Amino acid sequence: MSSRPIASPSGESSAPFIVCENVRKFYGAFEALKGVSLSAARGEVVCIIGPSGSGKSTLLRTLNGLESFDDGRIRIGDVDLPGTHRQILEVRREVGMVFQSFNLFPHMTVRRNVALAPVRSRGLSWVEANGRAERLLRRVGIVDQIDKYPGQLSGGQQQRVAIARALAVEPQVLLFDEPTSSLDPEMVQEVLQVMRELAHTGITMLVATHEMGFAREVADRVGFMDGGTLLHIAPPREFFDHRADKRLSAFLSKIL
Amino acid sequence: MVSDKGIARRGTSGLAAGAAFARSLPIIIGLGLVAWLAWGVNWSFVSNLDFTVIYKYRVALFEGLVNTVWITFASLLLGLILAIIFALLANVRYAPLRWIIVFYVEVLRDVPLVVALFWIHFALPVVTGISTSVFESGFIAMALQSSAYLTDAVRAGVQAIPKGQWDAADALGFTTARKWLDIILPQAFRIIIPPLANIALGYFKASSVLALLSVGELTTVATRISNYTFKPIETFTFVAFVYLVLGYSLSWLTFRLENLFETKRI
Repeated sequence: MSSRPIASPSGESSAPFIVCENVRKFYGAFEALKGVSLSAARGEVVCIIGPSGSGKSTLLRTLNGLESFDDGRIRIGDVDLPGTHRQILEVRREVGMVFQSFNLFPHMTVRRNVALAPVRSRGLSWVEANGRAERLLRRVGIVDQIDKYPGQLSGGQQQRVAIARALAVEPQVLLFDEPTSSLDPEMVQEVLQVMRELAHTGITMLVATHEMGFAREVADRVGFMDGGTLLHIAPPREFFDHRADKRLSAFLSKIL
Repeated sequence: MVSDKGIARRGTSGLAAGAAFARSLPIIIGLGLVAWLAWGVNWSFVSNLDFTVIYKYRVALFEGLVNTVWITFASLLLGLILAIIFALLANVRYAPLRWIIVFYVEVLRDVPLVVALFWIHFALPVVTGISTSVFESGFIAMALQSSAYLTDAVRAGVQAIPKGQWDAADALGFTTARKWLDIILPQAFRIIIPPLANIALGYFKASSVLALLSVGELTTVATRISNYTFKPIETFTFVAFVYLVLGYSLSWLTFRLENLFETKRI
């Protein structure tokens, strides 16, 4: 009988907030996720890189129930997905999401975009929620656009509003699904800067991205996905310098 | 629309004189036709027109107009409520429910309003034992039939909303009811304003067939006046004018509404 390890990754003392084990997902005959295992502790920032179609988005979308999965186990906090409808709603309030194409509500002002979810799913009054929207929009640097409609903002500004909107329900986790991929180059940095500041606040972040600089600088761990498999995951220094996997080093040499 | 005309004008201005003649040819033919028709008309009827009949029956005509507007508005409102419910149900996974809705829409779309009207008024009491007044029958026929057309319009509007909007609402933890009320239906409504206005205008005019049951709307009243006074030209000219003014107002209102949303959205 060997002594129990003090802080093993799966040990009780540092129970990860997100646990995926052997998650598989099919679209018809196509296997989008071929048994992915990944866990993230509270406050951890995990970046996932990989070519398009490798399953990064699908993986993130299974974590808040936007996509179903066919096999394996996903546990968020103390809910096993897919739970009841009520449990999924609870999970979604703890796990916010930022999309590649922003997906702001075009028929509402910026203020209302941010204030709506706290009122509808956290039971805040409009006065409280509007105050919170104003604080969050100040934090992402667009409080002066608060009464405009999303269509009047630039892509970078819209994505920062989307981040504020996701933060407004005070989630434990934020999922970023290629948040800078549809932005013009000059707007990428303003969004990455907001994400960088967020990473220091202790919120758990899972980021699918092509921004290697960001991953190296901000992530606690970086994972590489290809063909529906998480091939390699390691702290950034080890990840980028050792290039343990052949496909990873081919991918990195293509984009670096 | 404005820009289309602009392009057409710019295109023709550069053309040669032959094209200018070709362009004026339809105008010449048109004027000729009008002259020929005017020649054939027996203009002496004009001196016999007596529009005082309109003034004399103004109260009855006004009541008829109120009935027309009321039955159109009320039946379309009920039709729209039914349509939203059907469009929601069409999204349910349970297939037999979808088939029932498709069947309902198809049946009501293919049966003429007059036939539906007579069926509801004469056959429904026999089947159900509940008899309805002519006004109620007209209201039910128009509400049911418009609900079929509106179901299609609402469903198309809902389908036009990008998947990202559904994702965003889901990801924020909205309940199904909240998702529809706050995100999907308000956006769908903007998309369906033009078809909605078309359907409304169609039923505003179609309400005149209710006169076949003497429902008491504008055309019923006009028919009665014309039969009683033997002045069909005055009566129906006036009534046509009333339909025109109200129909045009509706189009104008729609245009303004669309513009309002357009400027807000950019």
